[in-house]
Amino acid sequence: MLSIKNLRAKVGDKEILKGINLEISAGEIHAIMGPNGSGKSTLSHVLAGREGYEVTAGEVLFQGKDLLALAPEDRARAGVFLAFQYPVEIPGVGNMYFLRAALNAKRKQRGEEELDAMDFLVLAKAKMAKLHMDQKYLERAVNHGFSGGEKKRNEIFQMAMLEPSLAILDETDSGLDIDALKVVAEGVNSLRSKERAILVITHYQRLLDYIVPDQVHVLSGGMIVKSGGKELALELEAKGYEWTTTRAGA
Amino acid sequence: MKEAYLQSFKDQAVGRAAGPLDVIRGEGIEAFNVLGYPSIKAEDWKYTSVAALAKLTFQVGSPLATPDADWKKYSYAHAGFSELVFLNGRFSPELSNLTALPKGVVVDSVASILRKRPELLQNYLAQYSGTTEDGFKALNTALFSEGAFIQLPGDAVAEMPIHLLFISTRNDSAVNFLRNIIVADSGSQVKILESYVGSSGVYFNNAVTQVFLAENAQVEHFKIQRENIDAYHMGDLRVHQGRNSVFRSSLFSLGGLLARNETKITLDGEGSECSLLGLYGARGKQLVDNLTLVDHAKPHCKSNEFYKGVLDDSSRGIFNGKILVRQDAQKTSAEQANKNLLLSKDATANTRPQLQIYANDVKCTHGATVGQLDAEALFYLRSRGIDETSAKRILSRAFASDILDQMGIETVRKSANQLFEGWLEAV
Repeated sequence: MLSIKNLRAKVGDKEILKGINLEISAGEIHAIMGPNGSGKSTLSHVLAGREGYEVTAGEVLFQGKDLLALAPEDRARAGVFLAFQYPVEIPGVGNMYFLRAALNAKRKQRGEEELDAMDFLVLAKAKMAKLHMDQKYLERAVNHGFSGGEKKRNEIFQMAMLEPSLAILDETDSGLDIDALKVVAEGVNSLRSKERAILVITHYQRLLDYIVPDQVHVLSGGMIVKSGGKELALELEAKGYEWTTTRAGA
Repeated sequence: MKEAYLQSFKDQAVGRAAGPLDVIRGEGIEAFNVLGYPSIKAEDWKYTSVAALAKLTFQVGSPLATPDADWKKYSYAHAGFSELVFLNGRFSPELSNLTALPKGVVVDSVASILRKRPELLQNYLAQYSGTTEDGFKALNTALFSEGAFIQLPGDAVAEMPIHLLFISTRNDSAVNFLRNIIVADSGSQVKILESYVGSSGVYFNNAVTQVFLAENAQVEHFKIQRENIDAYHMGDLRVHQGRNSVFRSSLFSLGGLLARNETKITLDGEGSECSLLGLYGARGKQLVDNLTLVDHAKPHCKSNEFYKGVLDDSSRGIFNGKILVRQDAQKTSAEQANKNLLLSKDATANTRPQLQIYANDVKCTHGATVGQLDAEALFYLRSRGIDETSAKRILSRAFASDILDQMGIETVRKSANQLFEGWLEAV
């Protein structure tokens, strides 16, 4: 599904990613953990195509295609979804209008018929019910005035609507209380399937109690310094990040 | 062109019997003779050069024309509006339609009033008209020949809006001097839509609209400026408000190569209120200049002004807004804001909010911004599969939404929304 080889990227003159290697297959959930400043968010931004990052080496193949050659919208249409750490508030743009435009852009790309307002609403309501979301979200402006938890839930709702092949969750747990965290995790788990890969980026192990990964990677200083099974997350929690970095340096 | 105007005035005077307007028209042409065209050295014309306009030769008045087959797309008759249609500056009774006006309301063309009862105009022309402010207004006073005259007697309430529709068609090289006069006597209420539309030609519309609100009157005014993209538009809206009157202005300006929308309001009675909403869009080499003055002359008045501009390509948008609070005008509340969105590196916005306050017990705020589309929001939309162009349109529409959603007459607000979305299709 996703194959990252020796990916290096910089912001301005500062190299942030220093040779990332990562293979994720369909049906798998991988977690990337790491301290602040390790390059976690940079990785997610580079994968989604955000401007301001210069890829200096390496490649990223998504379903065999060169992901980095695609515009952000084409990545999304091809099936990549990034759940933002800080979802953007967009006053003046209705959530429903926005999401229907997004969904129809993707459907159009696939040669499917665009959904009219009624069909969209039926679909949206069904997905919202699963996520215990109030329908009033649809009438509000995108993330505008949403609480932290509401924003994160809105990301998961968008993900559920767009049904990506690869979902990247960038610190989706940050700022969530335990109840919101459970709802979000439930939403993510409901999207687990043989055809879909999920990459969970997080600072804390807590989220991984609810979204259980197949593999855990530790990102430090712009490189993956350790990989292992789900038990690696617990070990990290107990020993702290220093444990991995000192070992890597040794 | 200056000489041609002076000559045109002489020619018109020859063919006309002496009348009550001779003095004021004479003052107009004399003022034009002295003032000439505004210069960029004048404070209120700092960003707007009329040099190109001054070089062009226009014929005063247009030949008779037949309407384009699709002219009804501009009409609001289907929505029940009363409608006065002017084709190339001439009133067209055949295309016009007056419905359901309360008893005593006078709605007529200015040409008709000039023929039958010119004295009716005399008082209004002289009052708060700014005749000697600049050459364009002076010329208008000297040469106006058409427009709408609307008078509401006390307590008359016109439920349905009145549409003044100025259509320019195959009108190349013509200049029309238009003067609209709207008089709302005490306690009366009316909604006026003033639209300027054109689809071809380098023509010039010079239009002055005067609105007089007596005590407790309420006037909702909506101006849609959609002149042809090569045309010139100098529009002046001048409002005088009495005690406890309410005036609401909505301006929607997309047209013209050079378009100037002036709105000057005098709050001249205690407890009067006005609101001014404006949305302007420009692209290509268009220049749109919005000048507003809210003159708080009496205590306990309230004004609220909010203008937004969306500027693309190498266009220029200007907001020059002044709030004047005179010494007597205690307990004034005045708000003003202007925000501009630049969609291109070559677009320019000049914003110049000004407060002049001579009273000490007042509440005034103002603010102005010039910015670009939020890169974060743009990326967010794109990351969901929305292409860059559509994302820009969606965000530009969102930028304008708080103005568009508040604009006056509901039916017109809906069409303004559609017009703006149509305009964004070319972004």
